[in-house]
Amino acid sequence: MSAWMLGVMLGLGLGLCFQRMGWDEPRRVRAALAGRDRMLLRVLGTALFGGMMLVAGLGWLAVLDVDHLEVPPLDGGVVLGALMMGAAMGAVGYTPGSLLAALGGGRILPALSALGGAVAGAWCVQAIPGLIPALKGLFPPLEGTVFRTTLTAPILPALSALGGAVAGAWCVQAIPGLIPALKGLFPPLEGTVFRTTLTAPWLLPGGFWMHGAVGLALLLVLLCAVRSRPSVQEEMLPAAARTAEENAQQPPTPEDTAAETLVAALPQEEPLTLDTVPAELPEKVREALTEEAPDAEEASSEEENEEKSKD
Amino acid sequence: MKHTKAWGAFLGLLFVLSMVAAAPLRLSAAYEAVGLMMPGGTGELPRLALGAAAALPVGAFLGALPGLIRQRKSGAKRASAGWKPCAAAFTGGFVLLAGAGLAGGDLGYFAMGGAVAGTLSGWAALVLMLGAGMAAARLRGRRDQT
Repeated sequence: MSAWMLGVMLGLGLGLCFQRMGWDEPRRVRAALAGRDRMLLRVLGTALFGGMMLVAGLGWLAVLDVDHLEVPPLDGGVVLGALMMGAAMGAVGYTPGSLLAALGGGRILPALSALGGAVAGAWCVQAIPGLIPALKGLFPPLEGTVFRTTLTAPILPALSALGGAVAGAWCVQAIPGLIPALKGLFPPLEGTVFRTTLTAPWLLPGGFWMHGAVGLALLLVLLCAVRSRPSVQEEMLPAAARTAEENAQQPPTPEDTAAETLVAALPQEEPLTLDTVPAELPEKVREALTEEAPDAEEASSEEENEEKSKD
Repeated sequence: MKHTKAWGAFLGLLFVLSMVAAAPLRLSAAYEAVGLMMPGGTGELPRLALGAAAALPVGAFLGALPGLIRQRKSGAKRASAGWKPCAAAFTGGFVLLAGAGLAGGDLGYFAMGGAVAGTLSGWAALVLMLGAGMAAARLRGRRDQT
């Protein structure tokens, strides 16, 4: 299959997926990042951890060629770029993918503006010669083994040697023959326990199985921990108004309605459901209303005085 | 939104499919390809990313079509955006893709290409991105409230 064809198929699937997820709405992306919309985080977590399991399974079955995996470098460019991308995502609610989805989802003008900015940004970074190497060179790429714990070499040689010398000397003197007896209970373990490198894709030892198991564990934790909650959009939108046909089929009763809903049943009229959304008035309006009240009182008291004087 | 787990699994499947067939999908390469298409631009076109970027709005449109038809039937009109949201979107898009150019990939690449494969750099970039995104979204939320 040609790369073009594969790209088009992936694009169609991703566009559909982003639209159904609501990822094409910048407001929802911002709400998800601010922690107000857990539904979107749940979907993305499922994609991430489910993908881990899938990669592990396909790698184990040799369907996925390990050479197709890419290990991005960890240098100044990645750190700075990731921070910039994150800040832009949180501020405007677009990602490179969601921006294109927004273009097809109906919000054309803001999406076109963001697309223009995105193309200009991508072009500027490439057009300024030496910018990327200079930023990447802010600190050299980390390489090699980051963390390694083996059973054949001590982590803190001096402390281990000191502790071992003291304990060994005491044990040998106190209970002769104890240490060899204890050591003989099971053969010594050897090899690397945990190894994380910046050049190999598999973060954990144990290869595909451990990777898939971690993905499964994280997925289960996500599904248990992040319970479904109505999204911001659902919370903010009032309940849909009932149509006349719906009312005719099944008239609403006061028990069916929420606390903020009022059912108006007028004689010889169809029952009406009214949503009373509590609105907070601006300060100026409130002040004006509170100022009017004493004036009204004064006016009414003046009228009463006039009536009394007439009497 | 219905069937959240199914849509999440489908999203993961698409990105893994890209890895199985060719390489991790990097949508930011499609934006960078604009420079290659200009006169004097040299280099190989990222065909996978360009194909995906071209078809993505079509897929989103197909997904939104039932809603758009309902909207048209009901006669409801969407309020047009003013110049301020458009200016903010332009600036945001600029910073977004400038960052993606520096990092060498976008959110999808680092999350669904790097972190999924268990690379430390992928996880590190993802954590940095989400951390900065959360901070910015909360700041904007506070500003909007005030």
